[in-house]
Amino acid sequence: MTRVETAALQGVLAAEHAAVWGYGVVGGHLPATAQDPARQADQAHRRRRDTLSALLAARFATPVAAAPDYDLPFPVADALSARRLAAHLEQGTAAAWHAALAVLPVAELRHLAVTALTDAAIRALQWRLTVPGEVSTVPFPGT
Amino acid sequence: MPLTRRRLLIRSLRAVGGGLALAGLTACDPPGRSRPAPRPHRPPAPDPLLGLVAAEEALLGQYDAILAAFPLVRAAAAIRADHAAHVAALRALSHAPAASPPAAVRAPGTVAGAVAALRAAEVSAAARTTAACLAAPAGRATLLGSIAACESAHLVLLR
Repeated sequence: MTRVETAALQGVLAAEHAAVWGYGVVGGHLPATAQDPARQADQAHRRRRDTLSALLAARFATPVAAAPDYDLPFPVADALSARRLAAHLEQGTAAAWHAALAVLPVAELRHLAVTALTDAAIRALQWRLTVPGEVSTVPFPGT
Repeated sequence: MPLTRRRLLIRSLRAVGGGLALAGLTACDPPGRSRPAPRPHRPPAPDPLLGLVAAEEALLGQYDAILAAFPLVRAAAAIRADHAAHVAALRALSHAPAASPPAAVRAPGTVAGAVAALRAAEVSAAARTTAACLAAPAGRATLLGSIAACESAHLVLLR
């Protein structure tokens, strides 16, 4: 794996760490009856994080660690702002995977990237549909 | 003047000779026989994006037909706008020639049928674009991956 590919995988790993942290905040502001989508998304990001860490370790790279803390893009105080944050997290991970696609020539890694980009785009749209005033569909997720 | 035997002979020989000459010409006609065959001219393989452009344009035609029949199919207009953006981006990347008018598409008879047809079309489109993303040079992978993700996400709206 080239240095560029390693850097790209580290970039998406950092984004997945941020998403896992962010879903902790999201879950803390959703009512018990609305936890399922957040829990499923959280688990999906944890799986991607673990896959990336294993891929990097197998290539003798030290996977980047999660930051001790992250800045929220806007205050999160209720269920609505939590759902907005969830959409933001998915758009962020979609952008990271999209950027990685540009430098992953290996079929297996590119397959992972396009699958992860698709998953994040689907979840981002699902979250946006729960936030009044958000656009619904976007033509180029990840950009 | 009566024809002599000798003149007859000359005539027949000429006739035969003419025939032979013609036969020879005919035999020589295919260029490959008497000269070294020229190398077959192979045009460059067509850009694989051209097939995607055509498929996206066919999808636009399908949305137009369904929107004309069922203007209230939820989100169909927004999804159609996404596909129009995809066509423009793919055209810019592939230098595709001007579009021919899409073949007429008949809309299904019911709203449920229309939604099912669009769902099937989006599944096919996403699979096609994902495959193209995996096969494309790195410079094209981002656009194709993004379009594939968009098409898969359309299924969230087509219910």
